[in-house]
Amino acid sequence: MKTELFNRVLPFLLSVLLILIFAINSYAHEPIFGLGPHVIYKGGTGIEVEFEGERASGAGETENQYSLHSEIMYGLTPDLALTLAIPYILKKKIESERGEKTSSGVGDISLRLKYRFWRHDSPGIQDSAAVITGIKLPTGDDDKTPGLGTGSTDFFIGLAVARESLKWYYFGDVRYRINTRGSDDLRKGNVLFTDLSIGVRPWPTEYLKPDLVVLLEMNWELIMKDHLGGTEVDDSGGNRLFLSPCFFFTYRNLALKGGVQIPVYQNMYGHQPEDDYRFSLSVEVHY
Amino acid sequence: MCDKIYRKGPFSFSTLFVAVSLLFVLLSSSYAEVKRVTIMIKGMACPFCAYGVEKKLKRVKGVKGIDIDIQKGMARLTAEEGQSIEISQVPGAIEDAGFTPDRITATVTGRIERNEKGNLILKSREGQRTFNLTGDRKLIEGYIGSDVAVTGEVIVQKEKPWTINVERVEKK
Repeated sequence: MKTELFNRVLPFLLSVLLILIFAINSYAHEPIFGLGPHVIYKGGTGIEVEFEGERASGAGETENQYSLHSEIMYGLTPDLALTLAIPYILKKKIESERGEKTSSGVGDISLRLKYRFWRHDSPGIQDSAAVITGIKLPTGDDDKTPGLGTGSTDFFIGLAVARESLKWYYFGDVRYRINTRGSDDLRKGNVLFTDLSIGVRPWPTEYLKPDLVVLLEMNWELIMKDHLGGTEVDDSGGNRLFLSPCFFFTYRNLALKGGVQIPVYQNMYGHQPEDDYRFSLSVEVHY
Repeated sequence: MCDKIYRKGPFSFSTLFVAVSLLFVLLSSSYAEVKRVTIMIKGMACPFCAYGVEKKLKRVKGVKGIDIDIQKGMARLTAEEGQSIEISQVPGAIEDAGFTPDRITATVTGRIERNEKGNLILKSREGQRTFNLTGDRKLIEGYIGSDVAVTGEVIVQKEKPWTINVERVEKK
């Protein structure tokens, strides 16, 4: 019971505490599952706390995972931001004919640098583009079963563009994750992410008034084959496409945002579980 | 001992203090003070983003009230009682918030004078800020030597006195 309390309640309370401690600023409107070019303003510090869940089944097993992600962002300049992302896996469970295995703890911490290299402002409209680069560190315990991290230091680069207006939002991004060799001599396949989003504000808004934006995202993932000891793993790789209805509700300095990723197409090679759904719900406060 | 020293002149210390204070108040009332500023902001499209604008504008010296209009893309600033908005900090605050500052209009109080070149100016506080005045010359000349409130578009020029394109003049 004590362990349960430590693993689940404490991380949540710590995250809430972090929100209260840090001065938080808006990341503005961004896709929930994709990536946008927004950066925090110069000297701004922000935190976002996100509750994520996902379920995958098939190939004789079912995987469930619930995690709490805390992101701390700092605006080095009006166009350059540094983000530290700390995931805490509340529960990772794999069920199969051989039994059930559960683990929890800190996942792989990542550090991202986003540079908005282009911005064009006109009345009520902002067009922008940013490059993103990052590193994921092997901080998650990969000795646990199931493992909480890949045991590898991975890198990623990406490009995000957006048009935001008083009524419509458009986002697009391409990201590529380069995985290196991790635990047990396994190198997970590199992943190409492509996201397109469209959003609309159904009702005109004003400052200090509640504001709702609904988004529809399309997320495509192309996963390359894993390599074990230099040999290609048959049951790995594939591609999948999600359709993701999302929302972004704000009231002054408080934001509630979330969405569900529904797989509409999956082609995973060999025998692999396929995604059933993923969801995300996050709170953002700034003051 | 001190009393003796101060009483050596024609005025006592307290008389001098009152006289200097009165002079300061009178002079202060004739210096240019930026009372209201309206700035158009390009790129501002949502209330959540506007919070950053409010935070940055709050740090501008002399600002008390901030009213942000998302639909019109503007922010209206009002000065603290007896204070002047440091207008030179306003465009930078918008840039630091991640947006583009556009047209600035302001209401500035002060005294209209001619400078050594014969140009019309609005005299600034202790000579630190001088606004050149353009627009209806006849209208402005009618107020030379008067304490006025001038409203108009502020034209920002690097390393030059800023210019107010006068739209309205009111005698104080």
